[in-house]
Amino acid sequence: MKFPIEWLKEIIPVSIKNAEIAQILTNIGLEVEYFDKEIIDISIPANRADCASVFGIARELCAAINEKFNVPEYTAIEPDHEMSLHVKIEEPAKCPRYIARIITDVNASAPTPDFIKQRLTLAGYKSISVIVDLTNYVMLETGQPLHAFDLNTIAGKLIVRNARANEEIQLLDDSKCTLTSEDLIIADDNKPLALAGIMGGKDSGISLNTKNVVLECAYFEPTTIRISAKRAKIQTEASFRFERGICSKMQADALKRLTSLILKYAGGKPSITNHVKDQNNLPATKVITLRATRVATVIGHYFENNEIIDILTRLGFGCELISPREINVTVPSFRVDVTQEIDLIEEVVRIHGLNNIAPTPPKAALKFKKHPDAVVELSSMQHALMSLGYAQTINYSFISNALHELFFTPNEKIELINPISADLSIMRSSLVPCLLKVLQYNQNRQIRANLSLKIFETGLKFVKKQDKIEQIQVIAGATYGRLFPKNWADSNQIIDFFDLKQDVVNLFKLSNLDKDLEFKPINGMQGMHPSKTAEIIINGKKVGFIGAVHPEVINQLELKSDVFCFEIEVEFLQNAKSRTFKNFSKYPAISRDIAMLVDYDLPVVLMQKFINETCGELLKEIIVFDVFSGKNIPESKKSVALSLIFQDDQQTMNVEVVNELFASLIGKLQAKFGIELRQQ
Amino acid sequence: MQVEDILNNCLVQIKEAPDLRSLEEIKVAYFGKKGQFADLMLYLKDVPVVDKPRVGQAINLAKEKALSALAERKEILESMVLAATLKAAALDVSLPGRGHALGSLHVINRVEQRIRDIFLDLGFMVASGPEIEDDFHNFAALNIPNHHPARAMQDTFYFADGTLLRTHTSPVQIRQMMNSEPPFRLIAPGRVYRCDSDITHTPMFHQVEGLMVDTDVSFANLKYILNSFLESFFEQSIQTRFRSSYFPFTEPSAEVDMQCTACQGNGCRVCSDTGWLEILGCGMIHPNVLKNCNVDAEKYTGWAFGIGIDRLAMLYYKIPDLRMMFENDLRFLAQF
Repeated sequence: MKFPIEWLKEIIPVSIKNAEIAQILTNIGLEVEYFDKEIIDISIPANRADCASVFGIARELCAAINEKFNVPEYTAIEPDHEMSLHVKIEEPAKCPRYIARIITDVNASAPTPDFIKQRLTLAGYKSISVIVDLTNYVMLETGQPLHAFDLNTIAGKLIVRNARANEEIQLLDDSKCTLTSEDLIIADDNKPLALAGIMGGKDSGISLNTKNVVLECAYFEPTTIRISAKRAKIQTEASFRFERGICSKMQADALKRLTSLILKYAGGKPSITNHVKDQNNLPATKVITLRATRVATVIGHYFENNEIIDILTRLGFGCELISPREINVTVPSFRVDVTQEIDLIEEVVRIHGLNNIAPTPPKAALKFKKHPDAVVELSSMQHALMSLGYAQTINYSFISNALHELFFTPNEKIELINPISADLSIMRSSLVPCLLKVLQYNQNRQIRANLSLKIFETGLKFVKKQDKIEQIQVIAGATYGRLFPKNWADSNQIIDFFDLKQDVVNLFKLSNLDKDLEFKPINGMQGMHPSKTAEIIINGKKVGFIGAVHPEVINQLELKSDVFCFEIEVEFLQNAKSRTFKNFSKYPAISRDIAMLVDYDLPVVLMQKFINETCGELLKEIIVFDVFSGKNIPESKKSVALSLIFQDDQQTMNVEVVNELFASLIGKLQAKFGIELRQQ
Repeated sequence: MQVEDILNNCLVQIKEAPDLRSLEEIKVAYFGKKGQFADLMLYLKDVPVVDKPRVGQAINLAKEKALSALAERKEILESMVLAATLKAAALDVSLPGRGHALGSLHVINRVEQRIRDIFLDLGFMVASGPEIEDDFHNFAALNIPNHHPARAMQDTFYFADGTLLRTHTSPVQIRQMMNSEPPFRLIAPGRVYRCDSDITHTPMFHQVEGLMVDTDVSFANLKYILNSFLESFFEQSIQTRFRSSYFPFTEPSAEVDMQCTACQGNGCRVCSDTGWLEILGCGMIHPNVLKNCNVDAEKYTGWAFGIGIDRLAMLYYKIPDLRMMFENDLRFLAQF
């Protein structure tokens, strides 16, 4: 709220510099966003309608500088005649107090006095005409919004009622508003006159020719105004105040103030005041018991009773000491935000000054936390990937529709109804699309031929499962380009599936699960290469996937290199397999190599499993040391060379035993897989 | 004399032997089957008996001397060979190393980790929770009912079914308090979302919220924790000022400014010439919130604070533009 500083300084009892005013107000919760020699602009907290007025600010300022501010009292204005409008309130819950007063024979085209015009202008209001200007002036001064109707446009009585569905009104700003049955309006016998508490109607408004005015000064229930204003998408100075909750007792005084100003500057003959109220629906006066001991507990600072009473009194609260450390506090009607003891505690400490509370260290009992051995923290996984050369990225959790549809179907999408942009409207169901965008971004900014990119991210993926949305934490990585950066000592090799596979295995090594991994080829994953993708399986459960991104996706994203990626659900990396010592042999091992031609499509892991089963405990390790096809190899075959490491836990192995075992194995391999031995 | 001559020749040759091969040849020439010392032994046969012991001794002595010299020379030559080999294997140690460089953690993660560590040291627990939340956990439980002005303060992303993206990490604390018994000491870092995008705001950012609930917890404690945290994080003494403010879930509430670290409070671009940076919001947890979490609001009091991680990262590392955090340019990432 913006207004001229001199107005404030005029009504407070002491002289004080502008800069000091700004600092004091800011410290007590009324943040001064701007001030200079002439104006001050204060941010009104959402729960303090009473501060949306010069009087309110003055009260706060005085409380902080140990003064009391008193709102001026106005004398009643005797009516000149008894003309009055009948006021009917059909919605007393929404409008428990409505005061109407007619003034006849005003000069609506009289000039607005300079000092008023100037104050309004500095506060950001346009000067319209004297009556309207004066209503704005009193609102700015007291915090009470008022409205003036042209009496001659009103047919019959004033009715405060709900609008009928689709009833329409043209407002003062020329906009046409279609009303609903929830909106409160001021109407006459025939038509709506104003959107109550928000904006008056154009037809019933004051013009320069107006002779007779009806002044409205009312209290409207805050939520009603808030809902209507939001629905109509209108925010006015009046609605701003009503929706935060103004004082429910100030209407008569504010109306007196306005009446006297109008009579003074626009002339006229005042009529009687028509004051309709519903006491049951008016907010009741609150009395709250404040325990001085509780203040000390919550704030950590001891306050004397009189310190507390002083502060609250200056703010307009009534205080009565009812026991050595208990005060009954009567809440003034303009403080709708104060409803419980804790609100009073805040009043005391904010005026005392938050910066005047000495910090003290808290005390608490020491407690041990669980630190299980077989749990791998996310940070360990992140550090492991960092050691393997990965750069961690952080991407927005929302992506574009197009990016989503590269990997998922349209009916899987989880869409925001109010995204910040179309590019950021779908919750990501995998982190991989975001990683691809990062690769694309960097590819376009660096010399491509030199690029060796490994990136990862940890975060939630959002997946539709039947009707529910699951939010699953995953760790995902993607690679692009060279295995090593361009360097005199490194090869020009391009990263491939098996480089990434080892990184995945290494991640699972943290959880002691690397030996339990199974990689099952999958050819139906959208967005992934059908023959270079695998599901990662542990104990029969799918925990993630790894593979090459589909060439079509690569194309669409204008990536210029193959991209490999993986994504694993963090839960399965976190729960490690517990470690127990396993004995290893102290006797020498014997190695036997076998090189063979096998069917091209035979997964080598099947042979490894078979060999392990066949050879039993004496076989300690199988090393796959050579796999190739092409030159000199028949088309439907590939060459696989394995080293078998034999070792006995109990004694030195007998070479004869190994030879026998080995020979028997070869026979079984030939029978089972149709292998052909190659020269060794 | 013969012996002497032979010995002297031998010694000279040994001394002048340029390499191991020549030395080997000398060895053969003198000590081989047909070598000079072998000849001397033959000569000894013809020496008169009375002279034999003397001559024999002379020969043996000469042999010893020669052998010793040989061994010595051999050692010298071997070490020369070794030295030469070592020298020839010289590397240009200034060349770049091989293999991949160490990767990096994202700067926001680094800062989050530091903040976690600072609070873990004080016995705080770290909690996390869902990012798609419901109205209850994000607003209602925090004393923000429908039609409350505070909802406009936080522009929220919504889904068609009424769920939303959390606007702060407070829901995590609500969930934690509802699922266990006080006392609580916990922090909740994580991604939060607000419908906001300009030069200093991104639609997604990172927050850490902390809270402590116990039987003897006060605003004075909160001030202590926040001041100490800032000093710990920025590694220097930090002046703060607390301004009374309004949040629906704390009462009393405060916004905390810290003296601008870029200019030590003298005024600069970073702090818009004010000398102060608005750094966090905090307050005593509103009794209504404690009650919503089934915590006895008479027995327990608590404080809570919230701070933006991205902002802290920008201040600490002097990063000029928030949007860089989410562009993931490798030249940015690799710096941390």
